[in-house]
Amino acid sequence: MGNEYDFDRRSFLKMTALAGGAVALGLYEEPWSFAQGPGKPPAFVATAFIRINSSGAITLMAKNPELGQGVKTMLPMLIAEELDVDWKDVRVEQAGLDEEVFGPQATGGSTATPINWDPLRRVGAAYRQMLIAGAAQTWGVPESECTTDRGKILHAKSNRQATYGELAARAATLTPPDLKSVKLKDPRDYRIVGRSQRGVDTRAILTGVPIFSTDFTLPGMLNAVIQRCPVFGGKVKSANTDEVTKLPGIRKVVIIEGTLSTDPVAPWEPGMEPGVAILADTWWQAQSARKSL
Amino acid sequence: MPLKLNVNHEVRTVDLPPDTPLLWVLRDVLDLKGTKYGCGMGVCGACTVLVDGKPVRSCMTHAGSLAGQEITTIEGLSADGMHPVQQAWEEVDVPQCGYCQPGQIMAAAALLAHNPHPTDADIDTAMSGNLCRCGTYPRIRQAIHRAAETAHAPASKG
Repeated sequence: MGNEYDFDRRSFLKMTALAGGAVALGLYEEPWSFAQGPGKPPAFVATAFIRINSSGAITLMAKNPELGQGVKTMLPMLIAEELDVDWKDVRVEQAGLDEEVFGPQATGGSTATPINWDPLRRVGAAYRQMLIAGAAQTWGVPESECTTDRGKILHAKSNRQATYGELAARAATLTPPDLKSVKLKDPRDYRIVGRSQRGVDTRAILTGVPIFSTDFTLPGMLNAVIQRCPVFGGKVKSANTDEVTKLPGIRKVVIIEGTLSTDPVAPWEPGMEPGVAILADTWWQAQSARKSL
Repeated sequence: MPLKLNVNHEVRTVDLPPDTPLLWVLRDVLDLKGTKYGCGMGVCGACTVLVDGKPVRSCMTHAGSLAGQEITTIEGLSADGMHPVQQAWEEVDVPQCGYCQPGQIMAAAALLAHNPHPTDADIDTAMSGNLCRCGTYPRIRQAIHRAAETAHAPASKG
C-alpha cells in the first residue's frame, strides 16, 4: 500500500476538458495534507461515516454532493467493502457539510475517486477493527484470532460469533485506530468494489420523490427572480416597484445597485450584477410579475 | 376563480388565474414536486405529465384549459411505483442525476400506451423532446424495450 501514499503526496495539475470544449485547470488536493495541515484537526473521522444500530441496520454517509456522477453510491461502496458488510444491508445518507469531519467535500474535476479511494477504505477498515476489538474484549480472546464475514465477527477457535449490531454499542466506546495503521483487503477479495451497483437514489428518482435543491422548501420561504438590464453593463435608473408590489403574492421588489467583485477567493468573478429582484410566495408569481416591471 | 383539476384520480380545487401553467400548480400549490421545471419554454421535456394519457409539457399548459381532463404526474403513474416503465427503469438503472427522469418516464409510458412494441426509431421519435444532460439515452431506449417486453398493461390513464 506504500505506493498509494507516494501517489497521494504528489499534488498535480490536471487538465480537464469540459463538455463545452473549454479547458480548466484543476488542482488535486492531497487528502492527507488537507486533513492534517497546520492547525487543522484530522479529517475522515471513521465514526462519523458509519452508524450501526443494535438491530444491525447499517447507515453509511455519502460525503460529496451527488451531481449524477454516482458518488453517492460509489463512495459508501468503498466504506462497505472494507467494513465487510453486504451492500444490500446498507442504507446511504447524505452527509452534512463538515470538512473537519468528512474531509474535502467539493465535487468537481473528477477528483472524488482519487481523493477518497484510500481514506474511505481505511474508514471502513478502522471501524471493522473497532468491532473486532469490541468482540475480542467481550470474549477475552486476542483480536488477531477474530475474523469478519459480511456483518458478523467470528472467533473460529471457540466457535463463537456475533453480529455487528450486537457489538456496535461496545465498539462505539472505543478509540478509532490511526487510519494509516489499518490493514486493507487484497483487491482480489473485493465483493462490492469493482461490481456494478444500482444507484442508491434510483427508486426515489423514478417515483418523483423530491430530492433536488429546487424541491427544497422552508416554512415561509419566498421565491425570487431578477430582471437584469437588457444591455451589458447597464444599471437600474428607476423601477415601478410600488405597482409591482401590489400584484398577487408579491412581498417585496428590490432594486439591486450591483457590486464589484468582493470575492477574495475568485477575484475574477463579477459581483452582483445590477437588476430588479422580485420576491414572491411562489416562483410563478415572481416570474409573472416580471412582465409588469 | 376556483379551478377544479383532476390530478392523479383526485379532484383538487385551486384558486388561481386560469393562465397559471399546470407545472406551477403541481409544484407550488399541490406540492407534487416530482414534475420538474427545466426550460419553461416547452423544449426540454422535464415537465412532461399525462393529460388524458397524452404527454404534455406542463410548463406551457394553462391550468384553466384542463377542466374535466385526467392529469397524471410521476407521483400518480402507479400506486406503488411499480408501473412497467418504472420497473424497467430500475432494472436498467437508467438515471444518473435524475432531474429529467420523471419527464422521460411519463413520455415513455405514453409511448407504450399507444405503441406497445416500439422500434428504436419509434422510441427516438417519441422521446426526442425529452432532453437528458447526463446522456442516459442508450439506457432509456433499453428500458423502454424492456418495459415493452414485460408489460401487457397499458400506461395509466390517469
